[in-house]
Amino acid sequence: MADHADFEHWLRLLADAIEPDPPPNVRRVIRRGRTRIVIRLTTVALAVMLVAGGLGWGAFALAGLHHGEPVQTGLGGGTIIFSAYPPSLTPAPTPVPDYVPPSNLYAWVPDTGRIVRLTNGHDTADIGPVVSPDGRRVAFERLQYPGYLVHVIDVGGSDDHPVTTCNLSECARDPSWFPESDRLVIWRTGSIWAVNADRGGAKMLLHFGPGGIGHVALSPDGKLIAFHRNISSSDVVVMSSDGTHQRLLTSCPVSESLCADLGGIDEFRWSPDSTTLLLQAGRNLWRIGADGRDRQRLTSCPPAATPGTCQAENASFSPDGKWIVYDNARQSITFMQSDGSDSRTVVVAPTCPSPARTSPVCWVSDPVWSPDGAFIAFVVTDRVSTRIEVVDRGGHEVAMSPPVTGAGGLTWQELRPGD
Amino acid sequence: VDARPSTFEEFYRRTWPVVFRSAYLIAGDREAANDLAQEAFARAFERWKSVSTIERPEAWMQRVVANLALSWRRRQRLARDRTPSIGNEGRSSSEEAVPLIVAALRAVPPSQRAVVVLRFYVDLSIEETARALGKRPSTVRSLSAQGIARLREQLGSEEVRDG
Repeated sequence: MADHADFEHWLRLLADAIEPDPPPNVRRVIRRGRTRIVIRLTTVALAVMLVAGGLGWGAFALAGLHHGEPVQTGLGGGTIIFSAYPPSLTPAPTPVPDYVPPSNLYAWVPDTGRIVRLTNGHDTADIGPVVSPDGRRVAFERLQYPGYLVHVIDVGGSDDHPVTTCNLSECARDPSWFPESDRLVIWRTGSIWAVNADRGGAKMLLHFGPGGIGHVALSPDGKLIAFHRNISSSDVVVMSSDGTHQRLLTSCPVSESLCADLGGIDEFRWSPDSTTLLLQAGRNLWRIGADGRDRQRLTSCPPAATPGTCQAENASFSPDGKWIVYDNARQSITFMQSDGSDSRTVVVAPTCPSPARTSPVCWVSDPVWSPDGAFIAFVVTDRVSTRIEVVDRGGHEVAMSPPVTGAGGLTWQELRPGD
Repeated sequence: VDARPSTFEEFYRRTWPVVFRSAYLIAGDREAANDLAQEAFARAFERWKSVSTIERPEAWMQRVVANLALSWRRRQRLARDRTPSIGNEGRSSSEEAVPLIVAALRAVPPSQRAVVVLRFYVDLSIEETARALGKRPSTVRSLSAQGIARLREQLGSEEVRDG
């Protein structure tokens, strides 16, 4: 027995000498635990549904999705509207070049946990939702092969209608609302238009001829339109919202410092006060005044950084315009003051542990501010699922959505469903 | 002595090292141990309301991680059988130095290994080990004796006596 005890003691000493890995962030484990809870509850619900004979559309009830229900105001002062694959598209489709999988729009009120399905297309891709300033309607792009159209719905999901018609491949894209919430600025091949948000009524503001436009955004005050012109060089131009008084803000042949390391402007956002544009140019974020002055680089990714390691993207202003949030190569979420100072990384992407090495990459992306500026929502993909997570400014998780495969294009605003 | 944890976070920080080591001892692979320990804690979080009230939550965790590690090893063995050219069972290519005890345990069959770890590292009784592994107490006694004998061979019995 003494020998036995010695052996036990010796074995324990040897085992205790093993240096354990440092414990991963507890939030990662909690997230994994929550996934297990959701899977368990889903399995139980599925069993109940099978017993009840409820299949087909009943599957949406499983995830708490009910088309057309009113949307409530919640944590952060609003509702998150986003695009995601329909529940029938599970598991997520394998990416295929030039193929956009079907998707619908959903609304999630973070502190109720409920997700409402807003659009119903089975073979269309609904993407890029933009809520009207009065909080009553949502404009979005609908890809119905072979082309994109801009549609508008009420925030409850009803009255789905196109605001443009055409047979070209790029019939209408990039909707942005006028402050009165009655009209939209869009672009279609070679031209920029103001269109009525109800059925009918459009006015061409600018015409280039074939090609030439990459992105269009109306300023929040409705006075200026910024657009990306890509004819002989990569330019950002600002003009009055009636199509007059064009002013070149940046031009990107390589002689231009803003794009010397990259090759062009990818996207831009207006500041809430309509005075500044936030540009994503190559790997970095820049800000530039609407008058072309006060140009400033906000991030510092070196031009030669390894792909996937340093890439500021999906940036947006906080509602008060004082802060900017973005994701870095989908590996972390960072916010900073709008002059680039006081940068704080609040979330890092989950790591996919060894058994999942061959699974899709894990990431965090598409951060947006809550209407009260107190929280940040973003898409998180781990090896189990894709969800939307809400954190406070300290990076502490405060809400997590049910699985929403293919989630993207988040917008978080106060909604006011129709009377 | 197991102190009742006040929060999951506190329990996680306090218990992680021993749960990780158990996973590593049974699985024989550091990366897998990390993942298995996380999975065990995720399961604890899933049932935290009840887990936090049981008398020895750490022992419960050890049983969970032991079973996870055994399942992992079974899957590894199946995968190896299907792709024999891969070989090198239980070893991580990224691993430089394997602790002596882990190297020795790798030579002990999985069921014996789990019994040895649960009995002599996790400090479970024969009955608790039997419940954890779904085996009869008599089987656990037998596996325990066989495992120890095998481990002594690997480590050297003289060293054990001197220990």
